[in-house]
Amino acid sequence: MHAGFERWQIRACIWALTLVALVIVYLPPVYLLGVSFNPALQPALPSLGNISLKWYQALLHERGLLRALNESLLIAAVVTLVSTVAAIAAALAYLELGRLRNAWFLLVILPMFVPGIIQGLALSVVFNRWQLAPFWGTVALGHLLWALPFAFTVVLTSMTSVRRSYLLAAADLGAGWWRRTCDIVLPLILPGVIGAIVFSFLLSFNEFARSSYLVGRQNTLPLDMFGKMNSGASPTIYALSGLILLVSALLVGVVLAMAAGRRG
Amino acid sequence: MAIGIDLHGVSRVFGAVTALAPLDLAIRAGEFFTLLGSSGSGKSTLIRIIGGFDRPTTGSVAFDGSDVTHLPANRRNCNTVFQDLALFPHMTVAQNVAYGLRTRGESRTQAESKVRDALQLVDLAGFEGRNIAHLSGGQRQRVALARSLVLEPGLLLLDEPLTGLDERLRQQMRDEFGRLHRKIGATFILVTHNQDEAMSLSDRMAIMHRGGVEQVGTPDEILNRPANEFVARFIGLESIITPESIERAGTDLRVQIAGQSFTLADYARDDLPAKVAIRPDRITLSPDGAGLPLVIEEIRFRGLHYDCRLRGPDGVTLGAEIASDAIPEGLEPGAQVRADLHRGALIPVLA
Repeated sequence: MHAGFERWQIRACIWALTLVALVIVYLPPVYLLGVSFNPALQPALPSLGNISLKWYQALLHERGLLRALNESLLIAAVVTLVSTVAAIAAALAYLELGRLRNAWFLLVILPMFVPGIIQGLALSVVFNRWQLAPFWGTVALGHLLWALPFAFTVVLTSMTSVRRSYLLAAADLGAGWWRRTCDIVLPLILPGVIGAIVFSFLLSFNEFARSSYLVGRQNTLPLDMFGKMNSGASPTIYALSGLILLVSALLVGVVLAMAAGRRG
Repeated sequence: MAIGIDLHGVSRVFGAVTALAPLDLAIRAGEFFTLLGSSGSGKSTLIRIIGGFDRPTTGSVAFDGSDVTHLPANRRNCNTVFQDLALFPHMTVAQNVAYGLRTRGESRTQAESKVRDALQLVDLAGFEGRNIAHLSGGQRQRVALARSLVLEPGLLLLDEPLTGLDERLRQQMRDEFGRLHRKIGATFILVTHNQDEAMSLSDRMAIMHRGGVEQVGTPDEILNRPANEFVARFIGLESIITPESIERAGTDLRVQIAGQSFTLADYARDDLPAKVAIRPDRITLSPDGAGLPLVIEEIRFRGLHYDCRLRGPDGVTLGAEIASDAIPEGLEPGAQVRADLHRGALIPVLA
């Protein structure tokens, strides 16, 4: 079936729905981006002659917000690394398991279904009991439980492209386990690994409920921003939001360009 | 170079299922040996044990006299072409073929020239940079062959690699296997359920059934002296009858069927067969004349020949393949005919 097979009314309908969905998804952040360029204190779109980088400049002096950003980036980086590696290991284990596969799958996936506020509370009680003072590591541990199931699922999905016979053939051609994994499995599941990295980073960077229980003296970014909103927002948080939005868009653009380059 | 294989008391049990009953089998160095059997006969289990992908429950496997029973696949001088070929999709043709050389740590330049030679061997010169996904079925077969042969194995295992090819390609690749075997001189073991493949390629073959070996022999031996009724039926001798009497007459046997006497030439064994099979391609039909009086049950047009099913007076049925231009006029189901058996039509079925 080629494009344009359906009647024009149906195609128009699909396009209209797509457009509505895109507007709903993108309008608020784009509006926020606009607001961040308004020098006024009240959140509103700036008039065209009034665009200013005032709040972006002010951002440089917002020590607290920047420290929170720094903390969140550190935690997200550690969580991404650990959860991606653990997800690959868990998926390789899944590949080797026979009848225990489903049990293993459920075991790894389970934390996904524990509500964050309960998970956070439980962890903080346990850490307290172990007399582990809260710091960025405790937050990272909480985030790990949250990110790992998603990373695992994404990696596992891409494992379907690794046929058992590929591994048998590689063994037949003289490759031991380590070479089979590096030469055959990892290249084939690369898309899943990239997915796991993106998911882990975003899930950690966004996380609020668990962080609120496990955080030490230094707030993460979501906690800090939430606190600032409650105590009367300074427009610098619009600037920060705008900045994060722009960086994300840039990163996605780069990844897409790389993917296109690899294919072409 | 070529490896001889000795299996002693090899069996494989999966839980309550016996996939292989204890069996002995010797495969000579350099021969083209076929394991022929239907699915569930144990042939794939056996080849996995020979290749080192599975361990036998009991028994031992020896390559050239040295025990390899517990040697894993990656350390046996033996390569396999898998049923689904298992070409690595993220590698080019050259990278696939070079993979085994790389795991051995051969230098890049040496590997490159070997890959070129191997691709030449399978008529794929110049395909080095191609993507696996863009190859035809036959080309993939050749890449899989080259990937195994580039390692110059003493033993090549072919695990039903022709399944899933169309008939023309199947014949083409079958001939290719034969050519490569003659050229390389390694021991080849083919697993198949297709008797044409087995008959046309093998030096010797084993007929497998329910985890055991029914008969080992050259295609000629198996075709002309099937060890038992199962083997006879499996290789296409469907018409098996119990004659009224079988007697010796010099080196021949005199076989009495429906009151008529036929000759089975050159029978060398001491014991007499209880039954005989009748080859469907050694029968002529005529409306009257010499031969067995039979009634036609069914005639089917098969292109170059007709498949006829005939019924005898005592209820036995016979199959006959009659060339399209040799079919008598007016033959229809229900008609009486005479079936004359040519020399070689009778085959003794020993058990």
